[in-house]
Formats: sequence, C-alpha cells, structure tokens
Amino acid sequence: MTALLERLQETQPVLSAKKPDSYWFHVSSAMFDQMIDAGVIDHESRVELLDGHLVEIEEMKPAHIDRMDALNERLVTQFRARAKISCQNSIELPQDGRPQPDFALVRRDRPAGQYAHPEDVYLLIEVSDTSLQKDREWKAMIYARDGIGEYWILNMQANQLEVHRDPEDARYSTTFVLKAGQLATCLAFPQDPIDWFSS
Amino acid sequence: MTALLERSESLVQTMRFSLTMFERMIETGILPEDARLELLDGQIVELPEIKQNHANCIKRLYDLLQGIFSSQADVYSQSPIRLPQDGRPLPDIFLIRSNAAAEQSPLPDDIYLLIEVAGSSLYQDRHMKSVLYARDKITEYWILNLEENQLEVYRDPKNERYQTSFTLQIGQLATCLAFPQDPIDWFSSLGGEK
Repeated sequence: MTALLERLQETQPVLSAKKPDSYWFHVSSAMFDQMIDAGVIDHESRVELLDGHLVEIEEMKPAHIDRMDALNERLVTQFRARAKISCQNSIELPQDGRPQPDFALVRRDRPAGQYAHPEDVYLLIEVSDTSLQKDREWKAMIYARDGIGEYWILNMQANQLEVHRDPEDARYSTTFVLKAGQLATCLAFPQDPIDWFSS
Repeated sequence: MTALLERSESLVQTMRFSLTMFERMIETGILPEDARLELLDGQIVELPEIKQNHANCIKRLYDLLQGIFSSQADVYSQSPIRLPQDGRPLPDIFLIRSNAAAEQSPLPDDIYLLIEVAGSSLYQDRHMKSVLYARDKITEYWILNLEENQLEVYRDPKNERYQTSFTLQIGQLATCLAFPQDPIDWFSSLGGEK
C-alpha cells in the first residue's frame, strides 16, 4: 500500500470487502476476467484476486526459487500418477477469488477447460518467505472459508511446515507444525509421507 | 474476521491502476456505471451513498457559487477531475476556467477552487484528500465541515501539503484566491441542517 492510503487505513477497515460500507471497491471474478480480456491486467502483471482485492504477488528471491523447484520435483515424482501438480496457476474460489498458490495438488479427473475449484483440490501449498503473515492470516481465512480442505505453509524463515486442516467457517480448526526431519502426509494420500524439508 | 484483515492489511500490496486504465474500464463498462467510484493514488474506492442533508447542502452551495461566479467560471458538482498521479476523484464542488471541461475532465491547472462537503468523510477529506490535492497542485481546497459548521480553507500547496490553512466560522465571509473581490457567504448553504 502507498503511504497515502495507509493514512486512510487508520480509520477505514480495509480489505473487508464483505462489509457493506467498505471503502474499497470489490472486484468480482467476472470483472477480473474482463480486465484480463481488455488488457488492463496483462500477462506481465503478477496479480491475484483475493476476496475481491487485486493483490500483487511478491517477486521470488533465488532461495525461494530453489525451494520451489525442489518441492516441485518431489511432489511430481511422488504424486504424478494420482494428482496433477499445478505450480503457481490460478484456481477459482467461489467468493471472488482467483489465487495462484505455489502448489495445488488437483484431481486428475477434474473437468478440463476450466480453473480448478476447491472440490478438485487435494492440497494447497504456499512456500512462504516474505509473505508469511499474509499466508497465515489472510489466505488461511480465505481458503478455509472457500472450502479448501487442506492447506500447508512451508515457512522458509523458520524451516517448518504449518499444516492447516478441517475448514470450518473462515478458519482451519486443526493446525500443527512440523519441524525439519518430520515427514508430512496429506489427508488425501495418508500412505505417502512427504519429505518437505530437504532441498 | 475484520480484525484479522486489519492486521494483515499492511502486508498486502494491492495493484495500482493508472488513470488511463481506470478511464478505459469505465468506457468499456468493466466498472459498473451506477457505482460512485473514485481512483485515489492508483486505488479504486467506492463512495458511500450520500445522505440527503449532505446532498441538500451540496445543492445549496452549488446554487450559491453558480449565482456569484456564473459569468467568470464554470461550477460543477460531483463530476470527475483528473489528477496526474493516478487520481480521478469526484469532488463535491469545483470551480474551473470557463469551458475547461468542454471535452475532457479538468486537470489541476483548470481548477480555481475545489470544495468537499464533509459529514462522515471529514477524516479522509482532511488527512487523505488534502494530501492528494496538494500533491497534484490544486491551488485552493476548502472543506465545508458539517460536523462543526465551519469552513476550512487550505492554500499554497507544496510538498504534499497545504502550507496555509485557516478556519472560518458562521458569519465570516470567505473569498477564494482567484476571485478576491467576490466574498461568499458559504454558511447560508448550511441551511440550518447538520
């Protein structure tokens, strides 16, 4: 946010688009598509729609890219027969959301020609370097509210994996943390522990 | 839910729209025509519905200025102006060079005086819009403060703020820099309403 708008935020509850008197204009998924078609949002702009807000995606630092690549290889090797590993591609959330999570494990039999929906998603993972608080607080709430069954945050700063399960209203009622050395399994594939920590 | 969002808001970098993009989205109908939308510093905000007493006050002030200045300037109400730094607000009232808005929304150079009539928007008008207007060199900016029944005068924009500001009370006539010979009894537009 710009310094100017931060002043406004002192009195205006920001990013609470569901509030009827919200000051910020709420962008719908349909409008977002029109903006892309009209070239207002071009292919260079790294922007995702989150709860009606157009949010810029942070540039990745080299360490982040390394981590992404390592995890990508591991997930593909381990799950390619059973799920598609979609990396930084848009998914469609019912409440004006079109995020681009770092990884989505999606059903192989999902309908072609449309974005993956929450019911197609086994697991979402965000690899989080500088965006940790956003991923923990804001995105967790949006993903839980919109029915993403399982959400992991690979916290690069603390080198730990934060597991979020059992979405209920707008929060995950089960959360726990795994440290380096502790394998993770996701609910959809309990027989396949994932080594998320070595890279 | 709101509390969570408020805490995370400073961590979120929202996309910036240019004035050109914003105008294109209005022309092409991507943005709904009936919404009162402003572009402020690259961000789109939606103005709350205007209260009737507020609208009445704007109307009276508009008529008053129209009566005084119709031969020297054009008076507009709640129309767009263009600010160079990605802004397209809808000020409550503004006074511009005659015919300056014949083809396109006016720019700061065309504007003699800009007035916001402030009820619940007082904080934004004082602390946010004043920065925006000063930064883009709107020469003179007034806030008709309906909460305290006073007129706040801001002049001499420099470095994102107005260097001169003072307040007039009911009974004190106001003049704007562009037309010092024409005092305005702004308080008559209050109309006994709050």
